[in-house]
Parts: sequence; C-alpha cells; structure tokens
Amino acid sequence: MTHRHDEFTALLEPERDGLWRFAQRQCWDRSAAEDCLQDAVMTAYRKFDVFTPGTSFKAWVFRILINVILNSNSQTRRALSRRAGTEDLDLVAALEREDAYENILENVDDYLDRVPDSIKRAVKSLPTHERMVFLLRAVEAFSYREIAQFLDIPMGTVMSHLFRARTRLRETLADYVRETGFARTSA
Amino acid sequence: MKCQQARRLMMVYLDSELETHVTDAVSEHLDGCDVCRERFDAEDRLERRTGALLREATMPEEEWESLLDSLGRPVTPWWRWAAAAAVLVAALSLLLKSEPHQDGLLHEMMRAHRALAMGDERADVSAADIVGPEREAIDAFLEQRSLGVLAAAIPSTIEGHPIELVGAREERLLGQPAASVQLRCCGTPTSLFVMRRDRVDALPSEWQKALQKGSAEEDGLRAQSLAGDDVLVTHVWHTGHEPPPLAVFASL
Ligand SMILES: [Zn+2]
Ligand SMILES: [Zn+2]
Repeated sequence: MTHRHDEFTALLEPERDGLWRFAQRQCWDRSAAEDCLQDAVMTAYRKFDVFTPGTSFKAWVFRILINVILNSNSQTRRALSRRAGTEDLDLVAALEREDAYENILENVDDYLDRVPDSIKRAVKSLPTHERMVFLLRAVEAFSYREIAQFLDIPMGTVMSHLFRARTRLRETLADYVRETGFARTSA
Repeated sequence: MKCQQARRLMMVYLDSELETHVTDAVSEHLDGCDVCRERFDAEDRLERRTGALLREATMPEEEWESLLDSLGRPVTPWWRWAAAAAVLVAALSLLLKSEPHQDGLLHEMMRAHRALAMGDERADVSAADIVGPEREAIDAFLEQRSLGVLAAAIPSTIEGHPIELVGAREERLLGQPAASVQLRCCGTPTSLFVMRRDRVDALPSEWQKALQKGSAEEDGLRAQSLAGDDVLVTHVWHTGHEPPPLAVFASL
C-alpha cells in the first residue's frame, strides 16, 4: 500500500469506533449506517490531500460523515437550523415537576449500574437532530463551536438543541423510574 | 451570584464553555452553596456516566476490515444509498405532479415512509419504537395492537423482488390506525401499510374506492390483490429499480 494510504488509515484507526457508533445512532438501520460510514470514509480518503496536517483529523472526518448523513436527510437539516427559542437554559426549572428525577440525582451511579440500558433507550428516543447534537457533545466531546461549524448553525442554536435534548433525556429517565419503580427498590 | 443565575449556567459551566470570568463567578458561588454544588455534581456525574456508557459501543472487526478494503476500490459503492434517494425523489416528484388528486392518504404514507426510510425526524418517530425484525416479534406487536395483520402474510417476494423484513410500528393514516411494516425490496427501504377493513371503511369515500378497486391503476396508485380478500396498493414509478413498491397498502 502507498504512503498516503498508510497515513490515512493511521489517522482513521483511532476514530473508527466513534464514527461507527455515531453513524449507527443517526441512521435508520445498520445497513444505512454502514453505507453512510463507507461513503464518508471514501470521501475523506479522496479528499485527504486537502486535509491540513496538525489540525484535528477527528473533527475533519466527523464533519464529512455528518454531511453524508444530512445530505440524505433534509428534514433533520431543517430541524437543526430552526432558530433557537428564547427560553433560558435553566435545566433545574425545566425539570422542577419531575419528582422521579430527584431519585436518579440522589443515586446516579446506583441507577446507572442497575439500568444502564435505560439511558441508551432514552438517547434513541430523542428526535434525530437533538440526538445528533447531544452525541457530538456528550459522547464525542466536541466543543459548541465545532458542533456549530459541523452543522453550519449558530452557537446559540447548538445550545438550544443541546438543552432540549438534555431536558428530554432526563424526562424520559424519570418516566422509567416511575414505570419500573426503581426508587422503591433502591436501598 | 445568586442560585438561580448559577443554575441557569449549570450545563454550560459543566461543558466548560463559559468565559473565564463567568466560570470564576460560578465556581465562587459553588464554593459557598451546598445545594447548588450537590446539584452540579449529580448532573455532572450523570453526563459523564452517560457519555461513558455510550462510548462502549465499538465497531466490529469485520466491518472495519471491509471498510479498509473498500479504500483501495476505484468505484464508490455508495450507489445503494444514492439509488434509494433517487427512487424517493422520483416518487415524490410523481406525487407533486399529480396533486391535488393524491392529497391526503398518499401524502401521509409518504411522510411516514420518509421518516423511517430516510431517517427523517419527526418528534414522534424514532428507531426506538420499531419492533422486529423477527417475524414473531412483529406478529406479536401487530396482534397486541389489533392492527389486523400477521407478518406471515407478508410474502418473501413481491412481484419477484426479494423482501427482507426490517420492523414494524403503528402509524396513523388520515386519523386511522394502520400497521406500518418496514422492509427492503432488493435492498431498497420500502414501507408496507396495512389497515383493517373496518378502518378502511372509516376513510373518506374516494380513498375507500381507490383502495378497494382491486387492480386499478390511477394517479400513481396501483391496487393489486395480495392474498384472498387483502388489497394491496402500490406506488408506481419509473426509475432504474423497477417496480419496487415504495408504499404498499393492504387491508384485511
Ligand atoms: Zn446556590
Ligand atoms: Zn425490489
């Protein structure tokens, strides 16, 4: 294999799991996710000449993957660019009436040890555009600015989607607590 | 800084996205306020644990290998995706051309199909509420919701095209409950809608007629018999992949 090929795969290897799980969680099914990821990686490979050494390869290749996903999903693209609301981002106030959420906060580790799948299901049930912003921040640790650049939207809109995603996630977790009676069974 | 102010900045603070002087002001408040500090700590732990749990998913080795293999290939293999998009675009333009005839039911089917097949977002649809792909799971779901169809009734080929089940969910079409079964026809995402006869009877009369004709072809709708009394209606369009049923309507 060529030098260029080796260099590309060496940079790609550390990002493989992140790219893979992001595609899996943003596409309709496994096979669509495989197609998207393959499309993105091949595009990145073709364009590798324009990648600036010394800058973040992770950000560069994620941006390509996000474009592939959004190109086949104009509704999510529209939902992403919908202007931010004027709500202030007070998570405590937003969850004021979720009593069950208090139980989780009191025992975060205990809760997640017992029902680790509940958080995965809750993430799955987020609207696609909110899930995208949440995963980029909470799982892949991109900054607000980077996410704004990837999605071509203002930072305020990133913050608003992220806030809604987090509120919705916590509401869903509170629902699980009520359904499963987690609070009653925890010591 | 007051508690309410600090809380309003909580998640942005935890994301380390505040300007330095604001960060300092929040930190200072936390030093002196147990209530806020506990809340901040708990939310921080929840976020970190969530991130860690979601980072556990790793790419299967064979998928990585095949991805690397594809790098050497001169021809890009994303035609599958592109083809599905092209098919949908063609179907959509067909729909748009034939308005206003196809207002209503077809639009709803198209929207439901796009939401799933193209991963489009609607607040109430996500991959999470699709059951399947096992026929047993789909059967149990449809039976429990009285949607009036068994996955077993879905043929393994339609017009000679191989069908692969993906999953099912409940959908409302013109206000009536219907089973929406997602499948792949030759690999192309396809939706099959099934509505009970009594639900069909509750639809506007022009749609009842269109659905019950049995084998008519009009305005991009084609009705054909699936099995016995079941009625199937498919979109018809003309593209390279032909004739994949984009949306199939069956009533039992
Ligand atoms: Zn305080
Ligand atoms: Zn086919």
